[in-house]
Amino acid sequence: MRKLLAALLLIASPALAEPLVYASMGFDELMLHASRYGSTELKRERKAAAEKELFSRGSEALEYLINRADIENVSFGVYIQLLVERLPPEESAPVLLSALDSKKKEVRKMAIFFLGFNSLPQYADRVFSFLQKEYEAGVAMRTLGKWGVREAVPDIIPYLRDSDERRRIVAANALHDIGDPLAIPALRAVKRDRYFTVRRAVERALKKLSAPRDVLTDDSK
Amino acid sequence: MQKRGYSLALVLMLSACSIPAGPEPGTNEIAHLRHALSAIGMTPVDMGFTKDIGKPRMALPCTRNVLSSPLKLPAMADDLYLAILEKPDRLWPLFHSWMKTNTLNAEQKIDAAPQFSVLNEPLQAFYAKAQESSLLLEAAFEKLSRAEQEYLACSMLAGTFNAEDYETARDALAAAGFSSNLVAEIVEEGMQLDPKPSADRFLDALEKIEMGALLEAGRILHDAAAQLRDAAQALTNWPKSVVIAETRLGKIAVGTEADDVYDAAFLLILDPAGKDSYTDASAQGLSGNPLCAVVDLRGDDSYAGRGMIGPGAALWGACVMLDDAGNDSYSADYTGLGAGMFGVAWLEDSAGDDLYRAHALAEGAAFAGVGMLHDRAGDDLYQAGFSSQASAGVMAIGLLIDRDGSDHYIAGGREHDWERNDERYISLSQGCSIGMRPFAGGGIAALVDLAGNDSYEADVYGQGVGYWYSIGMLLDASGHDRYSMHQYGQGSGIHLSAGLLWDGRGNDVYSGFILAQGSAHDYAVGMLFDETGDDTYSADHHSQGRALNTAMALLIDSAGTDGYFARQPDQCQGVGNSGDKREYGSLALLLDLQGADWYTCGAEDGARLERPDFGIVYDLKEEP
Repeated sequence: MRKLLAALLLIASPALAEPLVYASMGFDELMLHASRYGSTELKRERKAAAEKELFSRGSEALEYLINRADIENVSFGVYIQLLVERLPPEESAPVLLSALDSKKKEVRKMAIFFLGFNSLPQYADRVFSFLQKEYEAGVAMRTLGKWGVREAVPDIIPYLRDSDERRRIVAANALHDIGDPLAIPALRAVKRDRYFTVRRAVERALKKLSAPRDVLTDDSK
Repeated sequence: MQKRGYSLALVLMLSACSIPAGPEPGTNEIAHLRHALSAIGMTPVDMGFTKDIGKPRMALPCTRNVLSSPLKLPAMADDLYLAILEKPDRLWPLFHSWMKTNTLNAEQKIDAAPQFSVLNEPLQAFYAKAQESSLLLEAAFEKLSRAEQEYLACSMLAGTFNAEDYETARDALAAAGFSSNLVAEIVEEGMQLDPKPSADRFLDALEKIEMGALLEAGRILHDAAAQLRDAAQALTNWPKSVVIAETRLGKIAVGTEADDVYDAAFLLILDPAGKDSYTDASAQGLSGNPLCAVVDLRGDDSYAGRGMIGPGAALWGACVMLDDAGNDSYSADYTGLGAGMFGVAWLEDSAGDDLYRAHALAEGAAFAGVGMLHDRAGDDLYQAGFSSQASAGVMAIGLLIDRDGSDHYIAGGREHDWERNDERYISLSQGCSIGMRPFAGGGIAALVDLAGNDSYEADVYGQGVGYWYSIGMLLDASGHDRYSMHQYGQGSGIHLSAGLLWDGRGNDVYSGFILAQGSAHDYAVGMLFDETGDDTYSADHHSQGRALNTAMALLIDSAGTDGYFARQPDQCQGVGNSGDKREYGSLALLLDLQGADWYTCGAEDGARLERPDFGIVYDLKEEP
């Protein structure tokens, strides 16, 4: 313990700290530095260097992070998003698709959510079954909506009457994004939802779905 | 809305004098709130949209209730305000109701009180109650081992004072009796990528505290000290030199009318007069003195602490300090001045212009317990670094009540707000409660100032702000007040929590930068109510009835000629937002119910200006 304390003292003293070789670090060590609160100059320096190294490792870093998405450390989600936004879809998608087979529901949920950041409708089949899963249904609707998967509409419509307000919103938003007029009757039937959050999402969807086809673009957002 | 459960006499008194009725919106405000909601196709039901989506441990039920029923927030503030006005003794039942604890009647095995050579009768009465309090403390902590108590205390203090970065904090912890190995273990825990195991370890132990017994221990010690104070006022036979008596619960000192110095731990110090000096007036259960009471009747006194557990602090114990008169100075290098840490601490100063100065966890602050600073009169100066001036953590109530005088509150200047506002400072004060996100909810913090032209200065997190299943309130009943801060406050809820600022009377000035003045972010509720006066609101963005990321914000200014200034008017004044990746709106309301007002967003008197995603500026024209 005393050795540890001495090491900690060094961490707090930039002049005494030894330089670190980030390229040779494992991911846990990198994330330790990347996720620390930058309360000292040295911590902020190390954080910046660890972030840089993390991003340089691309899809390998994404694979490490997404498979630890069940950890209640908000930094993991932040870095997953940054990597998904930086990487080309052909590099991020295989990692995220692989995570759909994880035994951890949190990992599956996060992977589905971030798949929706890129237009990848060719993988709709991989996401479809999650519409029936209690834990992942919300993100599955969102991602399939972003991909404009019309085949999902019949499975999404029942969620307009879900007991969970947020799931009703996600369903309405997904139907908005897909833009299939077949959903209009179902949307009209829930226009008087208890909460404005749902009502406004439904109104937005109806506005888009009811618009003349030639202006059925994304301008209703 | 109707006031509940308070005497007709009090209601009549309030209506007949200049004291505002309380923070709860009246029938006029509620009627116009309905009209404003109606103007954008909503009803009050819409305010209850889902916000309680977390799974924290130990969240107080009321912190969840206000998310689903936001108007319960000012109702809670009303309960507190009226209890303070009517009789402070009503506060204890209120604490129990907020914490959902029960008052306890512990099995009593009271020893015969010892005979005292001076003031025997009042001291015996005090001692009998001290024994009751002691037994209740034992009941409160009986499920915890000493190792667990040390771990909880050291973990909380090491985190608060950043023992990882500061050698001075490690030294102070060592001086307070915590081993360097324990400090190192806790610092190492903080470096784990997965924080859940250490959070579970901490909360598993914390849950073993019987909070009902702890609150009762504090109440009984407070009663004992208050009764002793009242009895002592009539006494004349004070000793010529300090008399010290040994008891099973600790030493009892009776001072002189001269200037006395107290530099050791006591169960009780009773001092009649003189400029006295107190350097160790705290309760520290881990050091064998879980109870401490100080009753000082007169004189300009000095209470100063250099160690981690400063004057007016209770760690695993109960501490009550009652100073009846004089211009007093209170200072703590670390915690103190009404700081309940796994304990109850109550500091009450009845008169004089007083100075309060501390580092953190001070001036009405608590973590797992109650911390109260009650100043009855005088123009007072409150200074602290952070987590002070009505600050509450997990399972805690932190209150600062100032009844009279023009007061100045300053919180900040100690710890930078790194990675967000590097040049600014964390305040976490002036009615600020914070939970352990995502693991545990926080508590309730309220700064209540009843009179005087007051000045409030904070930086980041302050002036009626809650964070993660917490409630923070700042209630100022009257006077021309100035509120100044940078981010997160002035009636702001941040991340599934609630914040309220209520100002009753006076021409007030509110200045902030971001997320201030009736604002809310992330499934939260933020409210600012100003009843009367010509008020000025200024901010940069995300302020003045601004709700962000599926939250609910409400600013109601009931009267006066007011100005609402925003550098980015499209990001202020009754504006919601699209919720980013959540893709659904918030509810944002700015209501001004009287006077010729000015808005940078372009609203005019009599406006029903609908604002984006979703909100409104609702203004009533000046009556001719």
